[in-house]
Amino acid sequence: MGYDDMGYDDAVELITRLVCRFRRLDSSQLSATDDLADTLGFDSLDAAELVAAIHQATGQELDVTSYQDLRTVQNIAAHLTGNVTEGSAV
Amino acid sequence: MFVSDKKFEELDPVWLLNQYRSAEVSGAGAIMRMGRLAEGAELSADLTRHLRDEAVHAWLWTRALREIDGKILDVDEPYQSRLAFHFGLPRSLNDLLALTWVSESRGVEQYRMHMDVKDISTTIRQTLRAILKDESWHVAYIGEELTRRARSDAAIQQTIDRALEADAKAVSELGADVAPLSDPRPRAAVPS
Repeated sequence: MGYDDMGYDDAVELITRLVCRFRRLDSSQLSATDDLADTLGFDSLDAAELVAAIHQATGQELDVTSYQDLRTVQNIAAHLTGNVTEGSAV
Repeated sequence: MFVSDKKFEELDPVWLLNQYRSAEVSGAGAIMRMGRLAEGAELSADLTRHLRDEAVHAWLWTRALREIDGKILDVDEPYQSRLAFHFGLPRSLNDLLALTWVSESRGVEQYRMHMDVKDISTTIRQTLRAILKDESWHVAYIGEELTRRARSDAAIQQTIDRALEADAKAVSELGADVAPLSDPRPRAAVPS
């Protein structure tokens, strides 16, 4: 599957799948708006693993400087598809 | 890993062993995640063995702490924090491998320096000796993996350079009297 022209919904699906795989969750247990740190205890190592897995799956490096930029699936998908707005980056 | 610019004799042994224990526990977390990202059978096997080592080492330091009636404490890991700060968020398995290589290299250095101290307990000396053998293997296999990857991906050079630079800044800020690390690849494989 090519990810060059990945849309936002595809990005949400990919990120949800990766987070759920690493945390042994069913995708129904994770909402795209859940705060990953608050709900899953996501830390810097989890973020590094997720960013590396996204790179592996898509060939794209996320343009983020800190794991705190990766708050929710929705937010990460916005970074991945270049749709970051002031609101989505928080 | 680099824990302090003080001499070993000046350090609280409970604090020092907690530093070692904490580094091994954190290492296990990182290696577990890298193991999930590894594509090849050989790297997967090496990372699995490495994960076992980190867990065993954490237990060995826990046991050594118990033998000196030391409590398990939450300790800051100044070298890891500085290294992460200067490298930034790792974005690929290559980044994670390069960071792990510099960190493991400093770990070997730290444990060797501690082994050179004459007046240390038999328990600590035996633990250091047992762990050093594994740690040397960690440095070797990750260095070989980076060398292998660099043959087909020129960007690995930049990744290694960034990790070496972050390490140099980290040890400098901590006042460490240690030499810079060299490129993990054999000299002949490093472009001049």
